[in-house]
Amino acid sequence: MTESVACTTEGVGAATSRANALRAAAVVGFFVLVSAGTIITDARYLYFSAYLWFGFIYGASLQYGRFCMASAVRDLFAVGVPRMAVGIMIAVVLFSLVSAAVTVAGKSTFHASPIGLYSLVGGAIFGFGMVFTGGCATGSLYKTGEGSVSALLVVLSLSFAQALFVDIGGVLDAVVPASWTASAAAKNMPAELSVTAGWYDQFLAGYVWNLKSVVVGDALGFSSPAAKAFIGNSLVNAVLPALVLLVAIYAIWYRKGWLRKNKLTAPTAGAEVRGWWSMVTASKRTAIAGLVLGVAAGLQMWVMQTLQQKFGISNAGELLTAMGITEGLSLQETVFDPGYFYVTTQEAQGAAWVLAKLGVNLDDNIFFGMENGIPSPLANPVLWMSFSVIGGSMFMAFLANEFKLKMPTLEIATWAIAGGILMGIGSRIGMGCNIGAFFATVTNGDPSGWIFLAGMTAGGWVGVKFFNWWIERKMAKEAPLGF
Amino acid sequence: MANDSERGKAVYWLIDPIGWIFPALRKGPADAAPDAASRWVEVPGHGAMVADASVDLMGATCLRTNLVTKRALDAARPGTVVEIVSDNLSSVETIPFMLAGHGCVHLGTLHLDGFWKIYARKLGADEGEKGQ
Repeated sequence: MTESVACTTEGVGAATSRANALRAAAVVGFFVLVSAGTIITDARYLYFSAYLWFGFIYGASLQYGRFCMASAVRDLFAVGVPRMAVGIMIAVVLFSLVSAAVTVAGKSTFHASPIGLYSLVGGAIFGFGMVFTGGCATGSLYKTGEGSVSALLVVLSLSFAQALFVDIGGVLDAVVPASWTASAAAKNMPAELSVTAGWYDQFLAGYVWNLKSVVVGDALGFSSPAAKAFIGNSLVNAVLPALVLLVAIYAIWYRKGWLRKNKLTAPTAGAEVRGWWSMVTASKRTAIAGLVLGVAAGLQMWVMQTLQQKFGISNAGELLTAMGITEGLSLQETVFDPGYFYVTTQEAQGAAWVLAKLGVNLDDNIFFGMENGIPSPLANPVLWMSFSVIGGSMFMAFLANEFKLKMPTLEIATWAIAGGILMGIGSRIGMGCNIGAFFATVTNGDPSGWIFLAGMTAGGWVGVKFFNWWIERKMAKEAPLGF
Repeated sequence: MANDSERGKAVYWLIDPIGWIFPALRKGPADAAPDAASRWVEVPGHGAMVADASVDLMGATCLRTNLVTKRALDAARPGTVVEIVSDNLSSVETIPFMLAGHGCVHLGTLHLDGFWKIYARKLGADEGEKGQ
């Protein structure tokens, strides 16, 4: 009977709505207009549009697959359902294979992160926070597109928390290790950044920058670019760990039920493989979304690198300068431009731009002042991607009659804001979120993403335990379930 | 004297200017909840049957929806039909996968206007194997 999970029936109220089809068309039309209109004005906006349309694909896929890393961690620990964790591993395998091909073609835009405990700590804070919000960084974006105001609160609190956290000093300066301050001071950074003041500046310049980054393909000493990319980066760093995790998930959460269902007491190896495959394909919707996300994320690197070569740039800051847009560039005349699927940093830039308009000075730190800049949302190509993730999700939700404007209760709004703040802090300490610090790293040969995942899982586990206690406590005060 | 819930709602509406401008949006999740009484329902593919209990989780986050559903499934008596009402898509996708682990079978999911109804039947001890 468990196969009957696919039998969702459209009721009277959800019959295909012409109005929703028109709304879906309007969403696409809006992005087409933005895309075509800007390119007609200046062909260099093609670079912006590339981010925009990949974001649209991500948003549509995320919504279609109900794809959320918070679900992956939470559903395993809270209710023993591996659906989402499986989908993510499928996406990891696919993304790593496409990335390997892109790397061999010389089109990779990826830069590895340093290896360190910061990933574990950042991941844990992020994972703890995302349990309370009900969505990871990308999950909150796509749920915003479905009409969830609570998810929008998460996106906003995550964005503003990051913008303020990277500039915070005062009391936090007192807990900066002296070694970080000394190391940051020794780097002779521009005086306007005042790197020996502010916790995050000293964390970056005095600690993170001293760590070494590793790409597995290089570390294993392969001389052939193909072996480096496909065997080292993809097979060793992504495919094998993903398969090991899928086997572990099968053994812990799926196997017992599958064997019982099929009345198998002494299963053969073949039966075990069939059981494992049954788990992988249990939710076709999630598996398809994982497949599309994985392939699209790899292709985006190829497209962005191709466009960088076409325009003769290595960073969008050069493009903006050539277009006469210099406001908001960093001291290095750059802006945040990863060239692949990323979520949190551009949202921090958007929040910082708003705060700057309100008179808050956020230029005197490394994160904005030297590395990422604070371009206006209209001149921030990566932020276009975040907006279009929302748009892609909205498009898909309208098509499936699943869009619904949902106002949160006070309790849910409080969890959303508190969790969003934790996610913002966690993503800055961990140098990214579930996408930038995990999905994009492990698939490109950078093992730091697995450390982030370990932290995120541990934080998520603690969060689930806490939330479970909270729910039990609350339900004990409320009416019984009535059976 | 107002209780915590009323005070909470009052504060919420104070910080919710959109709700003042568009009163329709002020209809909170609890107000929007579909009826929850035990009654005859038409479950797709299974015909008419009595929903012995309805768990209304409109407006709840996915984790709360999943955890309350888990409790409801555990608490259900053998043979009863449980209706889970939710507008959380992630949970609507996840809940059918939870059922076997709680001795239930998935009868169907009905997509209505802005929410879903998931129907599950708790199996008796003698039919447990069928649901696994």
